[in-house]
Amino acid sequence: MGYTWIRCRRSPLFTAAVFLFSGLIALALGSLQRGLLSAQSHYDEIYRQIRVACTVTNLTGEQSNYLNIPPRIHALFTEGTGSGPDGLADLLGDVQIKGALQFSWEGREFTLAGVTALQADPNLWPENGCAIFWNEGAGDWVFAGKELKCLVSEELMKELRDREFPEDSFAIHLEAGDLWGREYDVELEIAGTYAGEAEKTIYCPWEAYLEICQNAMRGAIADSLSATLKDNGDLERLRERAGQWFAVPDARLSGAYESEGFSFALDINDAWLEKAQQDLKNSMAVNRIAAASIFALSAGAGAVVGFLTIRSRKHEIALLRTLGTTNRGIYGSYAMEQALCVVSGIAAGGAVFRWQPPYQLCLFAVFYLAGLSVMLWIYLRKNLLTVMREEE
Amino acid sequence: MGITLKSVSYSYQGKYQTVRAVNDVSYDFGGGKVYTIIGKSGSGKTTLLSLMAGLDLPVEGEIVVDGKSTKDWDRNQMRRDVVSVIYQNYNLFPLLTVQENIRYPLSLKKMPKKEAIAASREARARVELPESYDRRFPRQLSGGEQQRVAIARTLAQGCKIILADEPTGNLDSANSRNIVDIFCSLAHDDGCTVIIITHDMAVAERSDVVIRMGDGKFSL
Repeated sequence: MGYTWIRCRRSPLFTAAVFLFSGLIALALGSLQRGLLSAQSHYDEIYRQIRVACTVTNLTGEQSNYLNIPPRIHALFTEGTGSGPDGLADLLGDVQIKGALQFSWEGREFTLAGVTALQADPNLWPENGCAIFWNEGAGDWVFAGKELKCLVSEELMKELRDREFPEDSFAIHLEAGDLWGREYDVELEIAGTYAGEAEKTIYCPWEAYLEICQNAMRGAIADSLSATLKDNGDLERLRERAGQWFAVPDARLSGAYESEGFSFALDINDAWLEKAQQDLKNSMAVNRIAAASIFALSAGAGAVVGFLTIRSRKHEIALLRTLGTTNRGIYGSYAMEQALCVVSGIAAGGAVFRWQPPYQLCLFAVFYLAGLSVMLWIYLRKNLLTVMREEE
Repeated sequence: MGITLKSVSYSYQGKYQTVRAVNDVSYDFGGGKVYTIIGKSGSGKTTLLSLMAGLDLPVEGEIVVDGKSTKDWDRNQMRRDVVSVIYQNYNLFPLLTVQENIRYPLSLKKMPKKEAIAASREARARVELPESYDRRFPRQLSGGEQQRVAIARTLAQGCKIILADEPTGNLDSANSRNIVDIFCSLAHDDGCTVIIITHDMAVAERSDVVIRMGDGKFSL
């Protein structure tokens, strides 16, 4: 120990070089590990943020509107009824349902559409040229509620004003003949107007629409239904559960109204997710290979430096041998000296990244000492007489 | 305590051929004398000295040190306790001070530090180096002083057989004389067996026995 300590102390450059080398390797490995972890979490975030849209379609997958989706099916998607073990509501969010029924007003045909949000009907999308003008105290959130409120077209509003109807409500009379229902009257508060293509449609919240249909027809029929997967990790669970209620869209079923007991298909659009997953897998694989190569290089560099460390001191080793130091003593002395430098270097460098990655840091130290041991083994095996002759 | 060579031969593989460096040498080196082996370069002197130091075993014959064949010795122990070698290039540890160099072999014998320091001081005084040299490093010493430190290390070791390979090769005549004086004192006063390999006839003239060596053989 004494000689080891003296050597470390009195060859500060040499000791510092080994210390710095080990410290830098530890820093490099730590930062690489940090980078990998950060890339992994970044990739996870991307994976989570990709939206997987699910749309109810006909069996061929070509039609997603005017589907006449019965209550037992659209209830699967809504909170409450659809949250059971077979429901889909706990897996899906941002559910967009639209239902519509026809009625007559002033001798003209109108449509009452129930929507869960503005996004449920493309006619209400700003990108399709529609502008919404909410009355005071109303907004998009109206469709999320169940109040008897509605959105009417600017033209209809103008007509109501011209005819001196009360401006704040719109009365609907559903006759018995309308859609096989029974006679029913309902008055909807006007929450705003819209200027767009669907001028003869009155929009109300889906829940209000459900109530109207329940009273008029004992159940609402939905035209279209879509949702997004809440957590992409649940994709397989969604497929499994959806398999009980929906077929997989298949263009070969053209003309069929039913296939294996199913009337509808659920189109799960996971193409982006799959592509992203593949891309992320590839990127991570490349990162891992690069990291493994760098880890291997650091271990190799450790072995080479350990090897060279001993090579530069072969005269000293020969002298120790001539003085009668045993091979074990020489090995112990050098291994201890180098382990002190390497371990303290790793400790200093590794502390920056909280000893990350521990396995690779240990591997580096082991390879360093292995390189040193191999060189020592070579020198200690060598015939001492030959060594001394070479030294001369 | 001495060294006896019994038909000792040694050969090694040179670059192009096998070289028989020592060829059937027999001799008895008794205690209390200074022996000088002289001969041309390549005559096998250094190889013979290395064999006597137990750096390797002879391919034929045997070397008996202190009544025991080198084959039977733990040769590390032999070099620690019985045979000590002094080289032309001093072979001191550059990072150790004079005192630490002198007492290094004692640490191999597990001697307590205090005793080792006392022994090293005594040995240093014996080769007439002042106390202030204890804390100096080899690079701060002249060639003669370094060689004295190497001899002091041998003295501290307490070995009774001292082998010296061209110990005065790098020294001026005054320093050479001083070194030979120490060797003579070790042999004549302490009963050590001192075997010196040299080209220097002045050294040979002061020894008790001069042995010529040529083509791996002794010619007495």
